[in-house]
Amino acid sequence: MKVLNRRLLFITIALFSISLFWLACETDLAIQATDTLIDGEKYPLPTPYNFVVPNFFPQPKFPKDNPLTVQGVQLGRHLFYDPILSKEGQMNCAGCHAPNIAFSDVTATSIGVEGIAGTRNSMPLFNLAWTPQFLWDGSAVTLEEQILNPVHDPIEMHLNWKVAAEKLKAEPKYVVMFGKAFGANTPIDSTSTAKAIAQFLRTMVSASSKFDKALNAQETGVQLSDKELNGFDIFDKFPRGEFGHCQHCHKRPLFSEVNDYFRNNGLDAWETKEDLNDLGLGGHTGLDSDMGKFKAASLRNIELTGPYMHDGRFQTLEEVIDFYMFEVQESPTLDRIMKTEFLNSGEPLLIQKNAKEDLIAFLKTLTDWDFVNDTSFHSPF
Amino acid sequence: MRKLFFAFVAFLFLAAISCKDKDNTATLELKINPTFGNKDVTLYEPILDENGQKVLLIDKLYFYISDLKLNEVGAAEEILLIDLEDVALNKGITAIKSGNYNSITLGLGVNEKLNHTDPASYENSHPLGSDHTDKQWTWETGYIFYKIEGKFSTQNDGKLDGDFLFHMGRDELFRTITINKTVNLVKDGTTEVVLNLDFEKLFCSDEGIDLKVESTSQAAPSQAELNEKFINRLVESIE
Repeated sequence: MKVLNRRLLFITIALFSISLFWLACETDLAIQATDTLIDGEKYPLPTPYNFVVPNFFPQPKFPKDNPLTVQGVQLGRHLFYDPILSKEGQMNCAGCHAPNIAFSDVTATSIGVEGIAGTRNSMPLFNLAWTPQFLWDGSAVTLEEQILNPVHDPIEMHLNWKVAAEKLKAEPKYVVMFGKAFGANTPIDSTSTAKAIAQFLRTMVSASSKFDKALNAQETGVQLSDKELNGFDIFDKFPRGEFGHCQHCHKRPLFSEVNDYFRNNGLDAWETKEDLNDLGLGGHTGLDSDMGKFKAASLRNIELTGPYMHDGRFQTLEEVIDFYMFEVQESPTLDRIMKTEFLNSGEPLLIQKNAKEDLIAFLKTLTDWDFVNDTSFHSPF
Repeated sequence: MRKLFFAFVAFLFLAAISCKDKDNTATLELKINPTFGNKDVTLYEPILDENGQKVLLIDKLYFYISDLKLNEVGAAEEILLIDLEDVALNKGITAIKSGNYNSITLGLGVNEKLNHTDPASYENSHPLGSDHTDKQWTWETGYIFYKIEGKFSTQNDGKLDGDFLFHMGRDELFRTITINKTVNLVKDGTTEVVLNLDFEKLFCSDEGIDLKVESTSQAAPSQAELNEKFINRLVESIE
C-alpha cells in the first residue's frame, strides 16, 4: 500500500511538471517543430526576429502560426521584390508598392500585368503589425490572406498559385530559403509564400518621422517649427469652428484607427447603394449600414502617398483639405462626426488665417525618411 | 521521495495562501440598462412614444466608471468599461468586500489620476489600452468618458431624420454620483447591480436636452454651457 501511494504521488508530480513544461513551451511550438534537414544538409533552426516596439506604440498582434524569424523575413523580402510571382515575370509587389514613396503607387488606381487598371488606390505598406483588417474595405482579416489575392487576381499579377508554387520549387535558391524559414517538410505553396511575405511586411515599421523625433526632443534635439506646431493644434484639437477634427479618425500614434475602422467620410452624395460606384465595407458585409464605408488610412508618410482616398481622386493634400472644408456630401451612412461637425455645424471648418498651409506643414512632419531610406526594406537583388 | 512529497505539499500550501486575499470578497457585476420611462430600450431599435410614433434610436452607448464604492467601501482601484455595443463588455465586473449596502457611488468617466495615461502602457485589451483608442481623444485631453449617440425625429413626425452625438470627457467634466440602492453581496457570490438610464428624462422631459437645438457636443470648452447642462441631466437620469 505504501509503495502504491508513493507511485501515485510520483505520477502526480510528474504529470504536474509535464503540464507546466508544456504550458511554458506552447508559444514556441511553431519554431520548435521545424525540420532542418534540406537536401541532406543540416541548417540551424530559424532565429526569432527581434521586433522592437517603438515608444508610444501599442503591442503588436502577431499570429501564433506565423512568428517572425530572421529567415522568414529574409525570404519574404526576396519574394516581395521577385517578379517570379507574376504571370510572365514582368512585375513584382513593389510595382504597386514602391519603397521610395512609402510603398504606395503614384497612379490613382494601379495597373497590373495585363495593362488593366484596378478600381482602388494601392495602399501604402507600413505598421501592418498593428493593422487589424486589410484593404480599403477590410475584406481581408489577416495580412497573409490579403497577400494571397494580388498574385492570382487577373488585373494584378495574374498568376495561378499552383503555377507560382511550381516556379518557386524549380528555383534551388528558394528551396533552401523556404526550408530554412519553415522546415523542409513544409510545402512551398501559397500559404508558406504568403506567410513569408507577411513576415517581411510586419517588420516595416514607420516611427521615426520628424514628429516622432520631436516627441523625444530631449534626446533628438528635433523641434517642430511654429507653423508645424500650429498645424498640429489644428490637427489635434476640435472646438467647433476653429480646428480640423482630424484626430477622430487618425489617432496617434498610428494616425489611423484601431477600431471604428471604417467610415463614410462624405466623398459622394448618394441615396441608395445603387448610386455607389464602390460599396466599400458594405460590398462584403452586405449590410446597408456599411455601404460607402472605407478604411480611415494612416496619415503617416501622407506627403508621399498620394493620390488620396480609396479611388485616388485627389492629387494633392490641398485638394483633400478643401474637400473636408467645403465639399463633404450627405448620404445615409455618412459618419456622424462628419455630419454634425462638417456638414451641419453652420460654421466654417477652418477659420484661421493660413490654417490649410499650417496643417499641411504639420502633416509633412509625419514623413519618415529613415523608414523610406532603410535599405533593409529595399530590394535584395 | 519524502523531500518531493514535502515540496509538493509546500506548493499546495503556497497556492492556497495566495488565495487568502480573496476571503470575504464578492463579485459585483454592474450593468447599465437604457430605458424610456418604464420601457426597456434596445440599441438600434427605434423607441416609440405613447402614440406609437418613433421618437429616438440609440446606437452607441458606453461608459467608463471609476472609483466604484458601496457605502463608501471601495472596490479595487480599477476602471470599468461598460459598452452596450460589445457583448463582451456589457457589464463591469469587480471584486468588493461582501456585506449589505444601501448606496452605490461611482465616477462617471476616468478619474484625473488615470485620465492622461498612455494607452500603450496597458495591455491592449485593458479598458484604457490600445484596443480602445476610439474611446480616447489625445493624451492631453484624455479619455472620452462616455459616448451617447443616436437618431431623433426633428419634426416629431415619426421619421428619425436627425442625428445626435454626445462625447463627454475632460477632467472638469468628471462627476461622482451616489445612488441609494440596496446591494447585498454574499461572500464568494456574484451580485448583479443594474442602473437604469432613462432617455425620456434625458431628452424628452421639460428640463431635458432639446435635441432640435442641442444635438451635439464633444466636450469642447466653447460648449461649456451645454456640456454642464447635459451632465446634470444625465446624472438625474441614472437611478
